Amino acid sequence: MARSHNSSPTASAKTSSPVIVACVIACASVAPAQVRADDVHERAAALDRAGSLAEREADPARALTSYRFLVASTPRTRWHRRAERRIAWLQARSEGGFAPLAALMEMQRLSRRELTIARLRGFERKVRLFPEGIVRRESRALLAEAWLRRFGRAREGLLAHEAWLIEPGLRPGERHRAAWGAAQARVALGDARTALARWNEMGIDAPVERAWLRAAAVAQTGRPIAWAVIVLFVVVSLGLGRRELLGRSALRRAFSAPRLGAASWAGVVPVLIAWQYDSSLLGRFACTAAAAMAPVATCSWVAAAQSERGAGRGERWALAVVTVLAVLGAGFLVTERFGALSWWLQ
Amino acid sequence: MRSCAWVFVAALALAFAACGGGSGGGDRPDAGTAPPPPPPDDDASAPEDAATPPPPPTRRDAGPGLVSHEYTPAGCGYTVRTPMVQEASMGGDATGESPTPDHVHVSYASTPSSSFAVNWRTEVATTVTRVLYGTTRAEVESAEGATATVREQLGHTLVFDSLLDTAPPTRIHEAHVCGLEAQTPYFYKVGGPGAWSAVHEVATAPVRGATVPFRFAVTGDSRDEMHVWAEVQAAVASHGVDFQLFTGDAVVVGAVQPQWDAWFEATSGEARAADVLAEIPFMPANGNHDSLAVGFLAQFALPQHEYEGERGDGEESYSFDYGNAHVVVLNDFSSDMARTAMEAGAWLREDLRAVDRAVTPWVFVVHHHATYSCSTVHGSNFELREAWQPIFDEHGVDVVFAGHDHTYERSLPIRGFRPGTREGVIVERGADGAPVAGNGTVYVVSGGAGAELYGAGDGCDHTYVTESVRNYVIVEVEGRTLRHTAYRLDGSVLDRFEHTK
Ligand SMILES: [Fe+2]
Repeated sequence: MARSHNSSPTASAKTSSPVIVACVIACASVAPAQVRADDVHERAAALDRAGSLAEREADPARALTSYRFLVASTPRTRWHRRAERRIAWLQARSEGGFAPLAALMEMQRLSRRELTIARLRGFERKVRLFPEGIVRRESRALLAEAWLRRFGRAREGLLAHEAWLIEPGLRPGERHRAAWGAAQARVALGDARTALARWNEMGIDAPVERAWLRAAAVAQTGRPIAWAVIVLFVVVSLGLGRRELLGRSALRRAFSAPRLGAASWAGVVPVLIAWQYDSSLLGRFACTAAAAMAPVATCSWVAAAQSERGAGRGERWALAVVTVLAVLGAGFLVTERFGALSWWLQ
Repeated sequence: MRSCAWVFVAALALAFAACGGGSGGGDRPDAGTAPPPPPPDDDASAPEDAATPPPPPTRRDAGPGLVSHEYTPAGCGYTVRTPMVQEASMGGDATGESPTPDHVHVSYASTPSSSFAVNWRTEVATTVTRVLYGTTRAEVESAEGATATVREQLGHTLVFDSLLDTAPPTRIHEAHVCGLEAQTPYFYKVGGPGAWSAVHEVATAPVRGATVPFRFAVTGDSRDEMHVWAEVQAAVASHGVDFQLFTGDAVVVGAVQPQWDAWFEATSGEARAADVLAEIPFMPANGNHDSLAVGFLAQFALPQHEYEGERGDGEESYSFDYGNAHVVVLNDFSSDMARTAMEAGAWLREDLRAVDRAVTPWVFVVHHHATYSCSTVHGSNFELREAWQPIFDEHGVDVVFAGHDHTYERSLPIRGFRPGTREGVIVERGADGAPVAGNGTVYVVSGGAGAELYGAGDGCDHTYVTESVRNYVIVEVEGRTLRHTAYRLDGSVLDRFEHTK
């Protein structure tokens, strides 16, 4: 496009002075018949720039004025639709005479380094005084997600998410995010069962999240049981322990060629499948296979040693039972640790 | 027996320690060698009578039960070819019982300063495929056909089956509108007499090389959470972007049409993805989940550049100019990544060679599998990095946008490899980690528009900022200045840099 040389509005809008912005607006009010087509675009662009600048400076009232002038100018340009969208967005957030929105904008534009806990607490105090509306809702969202995700503070995060959840007029997507954040905060605080119960009460149709919470609740109960049976296995093994474990024939019997072949097959096949499906999953499958094979190999070794020393029937049965439980416990821990439990529960 | 117990516990502990804990994928970790045909010159796009009947269409058969349709839309000067589908032809006159269009969405299939394309869906019995457009809303609203101020364009329609037998066949319509004035808002409606859609507004781009400011969004990986996708779209629209780039993976399985239906119909309260897609041109890259399925190829009208070995009717990789920026969208999905990287790389090299940087000083690239990503799930794709980074370096690409990892990440400016490695050299950085005077490519991952989040990872030298969070990016270009801002869904600024060259 051939650029117009009537560029004073363009240059002036780069400064933040409201006086100069008013000058842009004055230029914009020139009758359309007096300007050439390129000037129309220049003028609209200048008003758009003035509006954007005002928003970056957290001055929504000034931005609204710029956009309104843009929309009132003719003929219609490609900037008009954008201005209409910004006007609609700003007007929907005009509660409290724009003071709450200006405060929220100040918070939103802070960089990661600039957002401190002191600032977040200060904003939290302000939000309590905000009138009901979109800005308060969006401020609650910012607070909740900042506490939980940026500062990793589960307790403050839970309180902030609960405050967000009771805001009137939440959109389904907002409600989902708020409920999910609250659930995650509860899990982080070690209360997965309450998290699941609350999630179910809300009736949100989200199978992945529900399965994740069910897995977390199952893990909360199952983890101590799994460790208990592993400890029991250790105690029983120690109690029945003899030097036979390291006997050559026991080792030969435990790690015979067919057994090693079967174990390799069990370990390598999932890894090969993972490699073919998605090489980025290879490490995870390899770790899972290795972790699952370790207790199986150990049990095989223990069993061979028991048979070597000619242990009594009762001893063998006791060991067999605690070994099976220990393998199940180890399997549970591995499955839970690698996130597969939630897949199964979906 | 004592050692047995210790071996057992040690083996278990070792396995856990070696694998680094539970940040696995199942977790929810919050905690043709031939150069492309040159795009038609902006100044050469003389308007023609768009209502003139198009030349007789050609129809080619392709295997049992599948056909493709090829034609030149009136006034456009380029050929449109459909993918292989059950039915494909020019639009007819039939209207079914409920013929009102839905899933209306716009894109740029040719020169953005003089054309746009629109797709929509109807029930299968409706074949009428017309678009009415003009510069005055009221006139377009009241028109039933072409008038002195409202023009009409005819389009093609096709029917294809979803992968799931339970889903009914889908009828898609597509029309290309050409010969338009640059940076002008147009009002349009689609369908046919008695079955028109609502009137929507779409604006053409500034002519190539114009230095007027513009703004675009980058989003990606919307699959899974449609509420989030709707919220991201509402947020993107509220910024008043001129067009939207998408880094791929719109849906989980591209061949399953009900997933695309949910994607087009995504809502969250008053936030509706359809309202945005009908007015803001959407330019997607193909993701591994979209998989160049017919649902992807048939439902988006994209520039049909061709390269040898193409499998997507030329729509898998394409480029366009918007003002003083050149945008390249690449397909990187393949069962043979090395081959795709090489083929698309050859096409990319030719495309970038034809770019006049005095006219379009800004060059952006969009594709799916990130070449620089620190995420704990996929991470960097070294095959693509090895194949494409030398081309990005040679042609001084400014920003490369990717997805695949469901995070946000921005690299420091990178140019070249460290000797004997595939590790990029981090070059001089300015404020906020921005490049200095155009030296170095910035690699951005934005894959947070609805998919389950992945761990952001840490400890990568190339990373300036990364976060596991729902996100979208807004880029403002004003002459020789670029302003990049990434937002979280709560509206807070996640990352920002400004670069002038
Ligand atoms: Fe992907």
